[in-house]
Amino acid sequence: MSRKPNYSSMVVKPSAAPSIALPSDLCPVCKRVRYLNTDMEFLINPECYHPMCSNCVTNIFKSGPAQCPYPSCNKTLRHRGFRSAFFGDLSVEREVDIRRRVQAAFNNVEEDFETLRDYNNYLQDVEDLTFDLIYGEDAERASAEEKLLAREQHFKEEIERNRRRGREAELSRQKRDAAEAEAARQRRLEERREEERARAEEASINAEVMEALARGDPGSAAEIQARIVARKRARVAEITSAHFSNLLHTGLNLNDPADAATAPSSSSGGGGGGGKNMLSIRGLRAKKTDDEDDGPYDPFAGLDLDPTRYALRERYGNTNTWLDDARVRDDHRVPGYSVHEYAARAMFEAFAGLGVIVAEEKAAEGRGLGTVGARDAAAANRTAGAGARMDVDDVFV
Amino acid sequence: MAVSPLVMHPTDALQNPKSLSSPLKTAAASASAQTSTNGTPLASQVAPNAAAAVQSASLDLAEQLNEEEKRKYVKGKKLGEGTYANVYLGFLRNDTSQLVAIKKIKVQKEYTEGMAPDAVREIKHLQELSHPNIITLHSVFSSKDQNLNLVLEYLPLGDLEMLIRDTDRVRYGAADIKAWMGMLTRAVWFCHENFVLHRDIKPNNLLIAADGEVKLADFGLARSFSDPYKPMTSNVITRWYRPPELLFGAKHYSGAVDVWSVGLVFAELVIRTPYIAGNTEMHQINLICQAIGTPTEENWPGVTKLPEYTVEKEVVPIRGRDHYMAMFGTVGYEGVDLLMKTLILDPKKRVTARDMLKHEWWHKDPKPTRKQDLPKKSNGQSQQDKLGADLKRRPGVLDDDRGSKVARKLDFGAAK
Repeated sequence: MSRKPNYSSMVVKPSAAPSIALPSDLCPVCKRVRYLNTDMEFLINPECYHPMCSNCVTNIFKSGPAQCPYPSCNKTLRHRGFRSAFFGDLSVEREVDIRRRVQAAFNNVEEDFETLRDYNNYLQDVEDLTFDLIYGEDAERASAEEKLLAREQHFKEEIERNRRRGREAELSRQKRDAAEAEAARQRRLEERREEERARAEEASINAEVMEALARGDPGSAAEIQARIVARKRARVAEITSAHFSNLLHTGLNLNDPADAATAPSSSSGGGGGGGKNMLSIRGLRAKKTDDEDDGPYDPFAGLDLDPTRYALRERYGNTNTWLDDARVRDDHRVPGYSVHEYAARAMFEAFAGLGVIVAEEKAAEGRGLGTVGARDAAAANRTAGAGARMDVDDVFV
Repeated sequence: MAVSPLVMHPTDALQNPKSLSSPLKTAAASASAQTSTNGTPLASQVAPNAAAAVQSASLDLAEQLNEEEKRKYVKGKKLGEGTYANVYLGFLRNDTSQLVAIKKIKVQKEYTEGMAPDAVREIKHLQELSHPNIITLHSVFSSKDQNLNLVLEYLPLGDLEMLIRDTDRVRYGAADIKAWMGMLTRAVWFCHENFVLHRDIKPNNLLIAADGEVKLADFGLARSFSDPYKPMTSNVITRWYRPPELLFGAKHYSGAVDVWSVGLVFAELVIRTPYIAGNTEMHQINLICQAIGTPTEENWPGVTKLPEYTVEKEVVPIRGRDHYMAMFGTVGYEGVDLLMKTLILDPKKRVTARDMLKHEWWHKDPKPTRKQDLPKKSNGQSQQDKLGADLKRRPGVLDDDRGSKVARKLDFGAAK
């Protein structure tokens, strides 16, 4: 069955006293009864949610769009839009459809908001809008519809992004759950094994007592028995306590309880982006902080290394013949040796150092050890370029 | 207590070595200080400081500076050992949260006098290059026996090779490849703009920082662009990533050699196995002929005049776009186009690093992954988290499937 909601349609209120329940026996349009048509199926169209049997649908709409056969309904329906209802109560069916559509458009999660209050306000607004769509009067419905359409159209990218993120979070949650389940299973197995060992110890008490008696150990029979039982108990206790202390021990090692408590809950929220970011649903909440991922990708990462203090010419050495040979000789030309690169370097080195501003250098000196420091430094790097190339003999030359 | 004057004295001496005429005097002074504090079990505490003071007083200026630099860092456990250096984890003495990697160059037998050339190359170029995608050299000092120590940025997340090889646990897509390639290309572009040839680009020289940034490392074979008529060695770049002009023994080449390596890293990122992996140099040439096409006078004028030009008799025509599309199609038409441009046999026609960055591939979908979202090697951390969460639960409680079928909230979108 195709239950794809038809988003293009307006959210409609079933006009004229909707037949609340899906009919079970009698098609309200053609009056055929199930008794004679056992395979009768009722379909609805989310335009108006008027049920009719599949026969009617085929008859009326096969040859193209037509008006709804209900007397008071003047909606134009298409064959494509018909589907079978999931709920027997069609008002529920409609509400679910509407909610699904609203949910698809307003798909922000709590992490998208700066404060819980903002999130709650957002939820409230979305619910208000939903309610208007479902139960509102015509005017309310129209304005809610307008808002929803505007959201769907103008925030396409954001909606898509949220959706993708939600899907990823869901996937990772599933993966995590599976891994946890597996670990739990392993642990249970381990426990069962230990329990069995403990039980086996218990079970062997009698046998050992008999054996000790047969060996003729010192002491009375009762003493022997008491001794063996005590020993066994100790061993059983050891097995279990070893297990528990083990648990305790690793538990302490791995993470303190606070950590453990926060880790899963924060990640299960999905995405875990932290409290930043978008939203601003029609002026209601104005917390528009930018997502860091925006803006087109810059392959150069904002760095421009073109010379600023001189213009590099296409060709140097017109008056000097020294470079001519390097341009034409096969051993230079064929493997791609570039005289232009050499000229660029010569020019660079001639001008290197002229742009050094000592104060900037000092600031760059204080940079940290991390990437951030390196990035800052990169921005200031142009000046640091090829200041002092050491001349060291090169054995590989 | 009586501790403070005693401790003060040697530190004083350290800061102001000129006030001391001889190390003996320091020793005497500290000795007298000791005797003056009644009896004293404190000597052992003070001893290292006093020793340092003695030492610093006897050193010349260069040695003092070196000592000062050395004392900024504390060397920790060994991270790895190579043929030419050991790498230790270290941290700043006055800020233990700042981690660094200390690369201690081994004394090499061949170079008993002077420093090992690779260390020289590395220092020479790294100290000039400062870029987010190139490993940062923080400092250099020598320890005892004039062992050279390079203080480098600490990059804890391994290298690209580990990610490429770990096909079972690491999955990545076109967006991730684009992000990595972007960082690599920027690094190479930056080197070339500053007239440095890296000459050893390969996945395991591409290290990954804690934030996911890829950084070009190991400048042990780097050199600056050569002057005309000054030969360079053709025996550089790991064989699998070595371009044909080097295999043919060229002595005068350009940044195009690095671009070839970048192209092969690109190919390797896509197919997750080295694209052209020859066992010998001859084998490498043959594989290049098969994978890309035989270098001939038509596609590379003058190639036959290169000193070690040898190819097999049967000429393989240059592979067409469809060949690459079939193999590397996952990066899209533009990605394949860029790859083909990096793998052009004739280095003069090969794309430059700068032109690589101008390619339209970067602006096509998918957008490169943000660096913090890039795949990482699976380390123990996630398992530890899981284990920790596991241990919080009561033992023996059946908890696996319960609730996993119940949606956390009503999700109308998912019910389609």
